[in-house]
Amino acid sequence: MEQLKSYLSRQRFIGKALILGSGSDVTELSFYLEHGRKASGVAVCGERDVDALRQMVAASGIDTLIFMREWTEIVCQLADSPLRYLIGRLQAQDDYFSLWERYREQTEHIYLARERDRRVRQGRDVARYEVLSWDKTASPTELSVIIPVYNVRAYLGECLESLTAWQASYVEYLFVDDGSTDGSAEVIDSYAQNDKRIRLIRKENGGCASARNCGLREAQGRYVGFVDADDFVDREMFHKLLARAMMGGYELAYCGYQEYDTETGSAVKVVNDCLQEPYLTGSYRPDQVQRLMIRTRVAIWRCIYKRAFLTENNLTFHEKLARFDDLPFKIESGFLAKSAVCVPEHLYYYRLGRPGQDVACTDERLFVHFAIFRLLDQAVLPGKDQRLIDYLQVVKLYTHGYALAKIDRKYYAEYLREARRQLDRTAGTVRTLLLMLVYGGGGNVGWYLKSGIRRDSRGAKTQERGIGIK
Amino acid sequence: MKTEYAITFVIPAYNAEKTLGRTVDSILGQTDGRYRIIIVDDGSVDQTAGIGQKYASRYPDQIRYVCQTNKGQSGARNTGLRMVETAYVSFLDSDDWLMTDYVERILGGIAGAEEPPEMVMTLPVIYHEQSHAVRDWYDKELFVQIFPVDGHIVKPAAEERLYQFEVNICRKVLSMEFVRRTHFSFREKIKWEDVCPHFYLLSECHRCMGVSVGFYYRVGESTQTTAQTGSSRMDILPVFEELLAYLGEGREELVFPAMRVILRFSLWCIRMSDRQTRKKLVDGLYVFFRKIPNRYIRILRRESKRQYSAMDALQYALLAAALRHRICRFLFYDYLLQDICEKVIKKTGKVQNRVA
Repeated sequence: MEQLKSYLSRQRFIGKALILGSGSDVTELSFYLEHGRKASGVAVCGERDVDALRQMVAASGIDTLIFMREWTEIVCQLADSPLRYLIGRLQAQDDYFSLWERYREQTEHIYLARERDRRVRQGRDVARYEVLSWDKTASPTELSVIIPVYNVRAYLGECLESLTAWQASYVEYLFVDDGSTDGSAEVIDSYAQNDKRIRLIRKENGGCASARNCGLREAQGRYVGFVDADDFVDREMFHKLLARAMMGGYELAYCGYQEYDTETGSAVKVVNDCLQEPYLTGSYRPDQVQRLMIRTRVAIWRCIYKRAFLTENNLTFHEKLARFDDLPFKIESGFLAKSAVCVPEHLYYYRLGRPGQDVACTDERLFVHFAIFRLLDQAVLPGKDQRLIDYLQVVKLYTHGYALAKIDRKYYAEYLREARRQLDRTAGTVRTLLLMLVYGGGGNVGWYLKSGIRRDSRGAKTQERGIGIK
Repeated sequence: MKTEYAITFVIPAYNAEKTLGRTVDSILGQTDGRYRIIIVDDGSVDQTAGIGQKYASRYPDQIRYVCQTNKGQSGARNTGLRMVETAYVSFLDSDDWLMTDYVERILGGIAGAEEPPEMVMTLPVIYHEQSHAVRDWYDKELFVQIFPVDGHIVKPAAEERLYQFEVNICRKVLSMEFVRRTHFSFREKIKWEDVCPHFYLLSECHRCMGVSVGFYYRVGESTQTTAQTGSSRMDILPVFEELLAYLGEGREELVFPAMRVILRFSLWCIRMSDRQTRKKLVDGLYVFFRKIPNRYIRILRRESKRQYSAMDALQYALLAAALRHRICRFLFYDYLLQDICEKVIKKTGKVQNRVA
C-alpha cells in the first residue's frame, strides 16, 4: 500500500475515484484519499460483476480507477471509457502489458505496481514492487527500431518480415538507406506501402554510424532499438524487450542472440552472455550495469535503450570511425546507464558469412580499435573514477585479445606492440594482472606478458598509427 | 476563527527549482492544516526565488520566504529555526516530500501524550527515483521494536538503542521549548551537519515519541550531497573530531552507537570518493582513528557482538584496526584492494560461522 500512496502523494488531484477491492487496505486508502483532499469523491466496489462495473464507470464519470490484487483480469475487460488515472496493484504473474495496451489510448496516466515473486526477493536486496509508471505524451510511438541499410537487398525481405510480424501500432521502423546502389530502398518502399509503421529515410552514403545517428534524430519512441538489415529477429523480440523494460523503467533491456549460418541455415545460441542474475531481476546499481559491459560482447542490436537517457547524455555514434562504431556506443552508454534488465531468451538472429561483413576482417582494418579506445580514454579518464578506468582496461584486454587471435600474421607484431602501449595508458602491469584475476579475462595473460617482454627488448617507441580515422 | 498553527516546516532551498514545488505542494496537501512553512533560499541562482515568492504571496499567512547570501545548508536551517513561532519545528529538504497524513498524525500523537514530548522520531520511506519503488527505512525493524505503537514515549537515558537510529535530522520533529533550553543550532559552513546533533539532541532529550509516519527520502539521483565524490567528503573529519570530543565528556552510553556511526560512515565515504580525494581522506581518517582510545574500539567490538553478531564484531574490529595501522591503511587507497579485503573478511566469517 505504501507503494500506491507514494504515487498518490505526488499527485495534486485525481478527481472522482473508484476503488476495486475489499479489506482493510481499501478502507485505509479511501480514507486517505477523502481526507487528503486528493479526490472529489471515492467509491468502493468489491463485486466482481463486469457488466455492472462497466455501467457504473460510464454512468458516474469516474476519473480514476484504482484496483487491488486479483482484479487485473476484470479491469482488463473494463477498458472503454476515458480515464485520467489507472492505478493498480498487481501480482507477480499478472499480465500487466496487455492491461497497459488496452488502456494506453484512453488513459492519461497509468501506474501499475507489480509485486515481485517471493523467491526472487529471498535473501536479496531488492524492492518489493516493480513499477510501470507511464504518462501519455504527444507521440503515440513507444518504440523506434532503427535499421541502417547499405546494399543488403538479398536479406532485407527476411529482416522486414520478421520485424513487422509483431502487430503493435505503437512501434515505428526507421529504415535509413545510406545511399544503397542495389535497389534496397525500393524493397523497403514496397513494404512501406502496406505498413504505415515503416518509414524510409534516404541519405547520402556516410557510413553506418551516420545512418544510425540519422535514425536517432528522427526517432519518436520512448525506447529505441537498432537492428542490422542483414539480420532478423524473433517475432516476439521487441514485444518482450519493451514489456520488460517498461515494468521498472529500465534504461537498458537486452536479450540473448543466436548466430545464424547463411549457408547451412542453422542457428546456434550464444551462451555465457550474462543472461543471469542480477540482471534477470533487474539491476539499479550502476556498478553492476557497468560490469555488464565487460562481460558481454558488442551486440547493441539485442538491446533497447531509453531514448531520454540517450539524449540527456548526448549519446550518439562516432561518425568518424570507419567501422565498429557500435563498440564505443556500447561502452559509453553502458558506463552511464543506471539500470539494466535482461530477457533470458535468444531472440535475435545474427548472420554470419555474409560477403563483405566488417566483423570478418583479419587485416589492418582491425587497427581501428586503437582509434576507438583513444576516444573511450578521452571519455572515461577525466571522470577520475578508478572503477570505470579499470573496467575500460578489461574491455581493452578482451577486445585486443580477440583481435590478436584472428589478425593476419604480418600485422600481429605491430598490433601487439600498439595494444600494449594503449593498455599502459590506463594501468600498469601489476594492476592489469590483478584486474584479470578479479574481473576475468585471464585468457589474455599470455599475449599481455609477451607484449611486455617485446616492448622492453626493443625499447623503441613506434609512432601511433592513424589508420581507422577517415 | 484563526487556525492555531502547531508545527513549522523549515525548508532550506539551494538551486531547487525542479523539486521545491513538489515539496511545498506535499505540505499544502496535508490532511491537517495546522502548519506553517519557512522557505530559506540560500542564495540560489536559478528560479528558486520566483517559486518561493509565488507560494509566499499566495499563502501569506502560512508561508514565509526568506532569502540570504549563501551560507550552506546548516546556515539556512539556522536562519529558519530562528524565525519559528510555533511549538514544534520540522526540517525538510527541498528534494524530499511528505506523506499526506504527516501533520495529522504527528499532532495527534502529541495531543495524546500526558506530557508533551521534546522530540518526535518519525519513520521515513526510501523512494528510488528511477524505479519509483519504495522501500522500508534503514532502521524500520529497530523503530518498530522501540515504538510498538504511535505515540509511544521513551527516555533516551533508559533506551540506549535510540542512538542507533540513522543520524538524519529531517526525521526528528523538535519542540521549540527543547530547542531553546538546549540552545540548539547547526554548526555552519560544514557538510554532514546531521551527525553530531543526533547525539547531542538525544542525550539532552527526556521524552522522545515515535510516530510511524514520515517523509519520502529520495535516492538514486547523482545531484545530492550524499552522491558527491569530490573534496566535500573531507568535511566528515571535523565532524568526527567534534563527536569524539563530546564522547570524552564521560558519555559512556554513546560510545558504541557513535563508534558504529563513525566507522560505517568512514567506510562509506571512502568508497564513494574519487581517486584523489580517497587518498587524502584515508590519511585524514588514519590520523583521526589513531586518536580514538583503544577502549572505545573494544566497546565497539563487545557491544556489536552482544547486540548484532560475532560476524559484525569481527568485521568492525578488523576494519578499524586496518584504518589505524600505518601500513594496512594503504589497502583503502584503492577500491579494488578494499573490495578484495572485504570479500576475504566475509568469507572467513562464513567459514567461522559454519565451524561454530
